[in-house]
Amino acid sequence: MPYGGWGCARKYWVEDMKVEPTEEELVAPGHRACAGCGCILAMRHALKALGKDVIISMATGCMEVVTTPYPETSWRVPWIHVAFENTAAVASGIEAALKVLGKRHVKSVAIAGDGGTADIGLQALSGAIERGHNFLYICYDNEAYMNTGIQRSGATPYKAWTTTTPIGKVKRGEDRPKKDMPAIVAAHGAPYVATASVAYPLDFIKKVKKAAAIEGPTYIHVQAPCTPGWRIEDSKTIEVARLAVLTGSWVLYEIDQGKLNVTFKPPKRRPIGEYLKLQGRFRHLTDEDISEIQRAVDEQCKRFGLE
Amino acid sequence: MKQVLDGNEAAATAAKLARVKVVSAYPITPQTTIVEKLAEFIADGELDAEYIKVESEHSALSACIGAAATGVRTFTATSSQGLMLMSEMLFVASGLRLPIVMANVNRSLSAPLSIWCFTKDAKVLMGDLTYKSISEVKEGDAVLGKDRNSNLRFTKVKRLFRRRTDNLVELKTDKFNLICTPDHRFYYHPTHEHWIQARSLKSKFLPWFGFGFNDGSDEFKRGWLAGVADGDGSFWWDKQGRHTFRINVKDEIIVDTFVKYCFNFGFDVRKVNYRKNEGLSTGIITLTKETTRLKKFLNFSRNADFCGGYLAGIYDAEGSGPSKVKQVVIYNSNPEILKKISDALALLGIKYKVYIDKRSMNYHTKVNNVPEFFIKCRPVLERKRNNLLKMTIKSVKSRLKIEDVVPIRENTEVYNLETDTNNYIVNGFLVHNCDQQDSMAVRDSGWVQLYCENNQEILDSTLQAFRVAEELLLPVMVCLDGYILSHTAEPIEIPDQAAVDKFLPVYKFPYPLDPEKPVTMGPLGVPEYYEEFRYMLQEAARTSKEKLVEVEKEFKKRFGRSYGLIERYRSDDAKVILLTMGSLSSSAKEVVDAHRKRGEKVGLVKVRSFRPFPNKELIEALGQAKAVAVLERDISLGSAGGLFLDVAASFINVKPAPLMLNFICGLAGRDVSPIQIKEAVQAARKAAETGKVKRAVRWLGLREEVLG
Repeated sequence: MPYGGWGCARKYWVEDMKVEPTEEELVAPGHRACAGCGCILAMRHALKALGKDVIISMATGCMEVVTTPYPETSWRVPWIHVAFENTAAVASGIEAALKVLGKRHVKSVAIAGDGGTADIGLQALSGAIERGHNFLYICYDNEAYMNTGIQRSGATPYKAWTTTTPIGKVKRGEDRPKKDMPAIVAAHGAPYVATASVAYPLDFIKKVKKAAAIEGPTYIHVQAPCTPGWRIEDSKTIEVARLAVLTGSWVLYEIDQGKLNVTFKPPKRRPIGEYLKLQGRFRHLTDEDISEIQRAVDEQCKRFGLE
Repeated sequence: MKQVLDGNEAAATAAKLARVKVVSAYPITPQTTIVEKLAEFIADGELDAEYIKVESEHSALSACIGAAATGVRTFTATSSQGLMLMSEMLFVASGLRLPIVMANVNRSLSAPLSIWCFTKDAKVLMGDLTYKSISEVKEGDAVLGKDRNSNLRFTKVKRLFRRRTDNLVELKTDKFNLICTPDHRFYYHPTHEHWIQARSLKSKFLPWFGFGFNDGSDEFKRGWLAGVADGDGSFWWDKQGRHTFRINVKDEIIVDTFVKYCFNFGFDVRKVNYRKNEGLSTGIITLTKETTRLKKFLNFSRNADFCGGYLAGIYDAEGSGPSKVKQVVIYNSNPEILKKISDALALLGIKYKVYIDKRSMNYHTKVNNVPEFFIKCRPVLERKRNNLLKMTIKSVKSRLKIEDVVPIRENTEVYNLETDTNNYIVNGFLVHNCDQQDSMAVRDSGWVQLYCENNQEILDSTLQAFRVAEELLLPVMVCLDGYILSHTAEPIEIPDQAAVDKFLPVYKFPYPLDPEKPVTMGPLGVPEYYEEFRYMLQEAARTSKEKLVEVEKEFKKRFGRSYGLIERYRSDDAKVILLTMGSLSSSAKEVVDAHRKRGEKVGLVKVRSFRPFPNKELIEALGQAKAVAVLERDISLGSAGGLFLDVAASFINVKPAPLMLNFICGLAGRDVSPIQIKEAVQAARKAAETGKVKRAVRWLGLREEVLG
């Protein structure tokens, strides 16, 4: 382990061991996800936390496509895909129906990617949270429209390469910072909002369990690297995801009833360059660019009380 | 149980009777009262359902999809732009085979929006030529409006609308101010059938009919008596030395009215018939004292009501026109009377000319502005009044300038009324009363589309819709015309809840989202399977026709009402058949009647169920005709009208098949006049005679001057 991350991470894993994920695999293997896909991992962990009594509504996107090529399905729980922009609305319909049917023990769970959440699906999500439906929304964030072939989304980080933010002579990559989705949801007054990372599965599982148990609209934003989209080796998914956390570029926190709680504090933050240099999408960055990003990360960490 | 409900309430009531469990809808005019009513039902505990107050129509249908997939009966309602926003989800709902029922209140898709109203002070020109406040107009009242040939016509008020709004404009003229909704359409250019929105009326001159006067006022009656007396009446001393007054007229109504008006003023007039064999009736006063008093009483006055009455009286006695000349003509050679006529006309602001017939030395007073004369003077004699009614709107010569249009933001009650002719006269302006549009744009979405004609049909169709939808796993759209149905109250029969429960058993979706038995819905449809999915969907859509008939049969058995997939109107032996859908049908029926009167074999077929398309029924209904003219208010751009394409396709392998012509007309609610429909009949007849069709797709009523 060249980054020495395991040690720190394990410490927290141990602390989280009281969280007991189900042994059962509710997202069956055999799906068509890419090797090293971080998102499918997020699905698997989420379902381990949720258990059987859920109805999943999923937005159009990678996870929908790779798990359900007819006549096959990876889902061992009831699952519906309707469209790209309305997952939260579908979930609210399911929740209303469950209420009518008296199935209080079944949770309506919406799952969408960053595009289906931060961009095209924002209105439906905002409406559903504001109406206070009892549902959990999980956004798996691979930081671009990966299903259509790596186009930038509102969640694409600053300076990142995508096919619509190419490295040209004049413009070099994405010129806007990432949209702060969890903060937007938190501003709606949702009772529980959390960020997570596929590199910290127990933290993620714990948060999903907690969110699912809360009556009301809850939101979890899980960062999940995309090997082809981020231009990383298939074997580096977890490493990269962990570095995002260890550098402070992706902060793991929860806003529980309005109270912010950073759930993982990297003991000594690593320089952002370590995270960026592993990814082909940041290959074009100059030292100047990297120090600019470092400043932004420092700023962000300061806000969360990280050193 | 009978209840008076408007179309929206009927739809909401049907949803309640169907015991829907999840309602998800987003408000849009004119659908709003459906959502409101359902919210009330739920708030009062009359309906046990979840109402999701979504943030858009897209989410409305999305939530319905989620709920229907979880296994409960769902209902939504929308209109126009809302349906367009839903359209992506329409395809998903049918693709997922979810039996959702929707009420779609048809409204035009683009501006101008058809939400038109006046405040209560607006004065409507009634059939008796008096003006009445719009808030006092009742259903069934006669008002004056423009018919399809641009003639004035008495027309009946079919429905009244009332709502609240704070979006109004005030039209300022030098005579009065009129408040209405900004998009209300006013008749602007008679020769081109051009209607213009209120908001863009500033500095425009509108054809103005003028105000009538206070009918029934004593001054009017006195004027009328004076007019008749100056016309066909005569004062003279008879051989016995009695001062006598007589009128000799063809129409007994004049005598009757004369006698009636005289009684009103306490004069004892007798009606006698001693010149009956000459075709004249006579009214007579023989007492000298009385006669002299009457003569004095009929003194010419410069009161406006008197002048109106005077002109009406003299026109009743000596007037003629305008069937050919389109002018009001009053004959008289007495210079004194001519002066009185001129004075009265001048006082009322009616333009006139006096001509002398050199041979007979008779004087004609001619008025070109027939409607204005008609409305301001109101002749009593029906024959002459009808004569005057046969005049074109084009002969309205007076114009009133709208000086300013000022927006008003004050929440007030506003009114509108619907007439047979779709227009009426307010404060002297001719105004349009509504607009229609169909939901053709989403015909390919796999939804069953039923078009309703009245409120009972809305309620019944909605109940039937749930049955059809749930048995076939196919969503159904019940379409009702905005305002015409949605905001119009009619007494309708509400079935018993128990009877409905028997007709509509508890909803059971065969493949719900249920953790006990997980299913995956809406997976990735790979090409190897997609085609089969579409085929199965098409099969369901196709067989929905039989299902509709079957469900209607059972509905009829239980509730005694049925409607059918198509309506055949005098078409069984027709050689030329008009094919229509929705609101166009009623005016086309009039044209059919006119042709039938002349013994011509013209008929009409109306399509009620557009999806599924009733091709077999149409082959049967149209098969014996020589030519079919398809009139429709839509076009599939780059091809032809949607209805035409489907009908033509129905006959593709059928022989003998009628020749078919397509007429695109009345887009965005533009008037389709009988003349235009007759043009279509003519073309179809020519095709039937020659066996040839030169151009299959034509447009009716295109304004060449706009095209340039």
